[in-house]
Amino acid sequence: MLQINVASAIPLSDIQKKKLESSLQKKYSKEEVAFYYQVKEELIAGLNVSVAGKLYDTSLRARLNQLASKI
Amino acid sequence: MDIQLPQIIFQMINFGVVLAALTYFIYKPVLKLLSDRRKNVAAAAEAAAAVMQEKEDLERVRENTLLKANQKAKKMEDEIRREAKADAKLLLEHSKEEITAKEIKFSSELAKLKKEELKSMEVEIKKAALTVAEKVLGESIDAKKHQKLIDDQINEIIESL
Repeated sequence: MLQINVASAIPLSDIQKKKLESSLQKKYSKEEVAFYYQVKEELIAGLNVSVAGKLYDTSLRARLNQLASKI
Repeated sequence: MDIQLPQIIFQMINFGVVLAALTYFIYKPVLKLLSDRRKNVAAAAEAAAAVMQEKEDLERVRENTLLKANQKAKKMEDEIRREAKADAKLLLEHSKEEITAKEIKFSSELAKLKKEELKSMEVEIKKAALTVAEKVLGESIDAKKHQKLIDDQINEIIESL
């Protein structure tokens, strides 16, 4: 089973969850997928998705970290 | 009073004898004494002149020696002054070099310290800037905007899959 972890600064709405799940299920259609959601305020804003050892991080925290490393 | 010739002759002989005796025993010795005294005086004067000459020679030698000693002392003094001046110059140059080296070292340390301080300040400024950015962004995003942001980011993630 493929485990997908979704972390966001605020809880996701059902619509948002559905949109995300349908897209990911389409991408990983050959496998059985399980979604885990959690709220992390330290992300400040936005979300990140961790799937199959890969992290898609679009949170404000990640952006700020990128900015800090560029500075 | 009759003039008696024999008496006169006797007196004359007597006078001659006395004169001869006086000449022989008194006059000649006195002359010899005077002559000896004159010689002695001349010898003494000569000796005195020799002594004077010797004194002058000694005086000249003394003056020469003194002059040479003065010249030597002056030469030594000049040499010592020259050496002292050279030593002082060397010491001054050495001190200057030392000061320059210390200045360079100090400047280098100062520059290093400045660089470290700037780096430290830079890190602190970055931290402060990020803290401010976090605070401002966190506070300025309301729920509606946040939902919109998450929608956008979901699209972004979907596109990058």
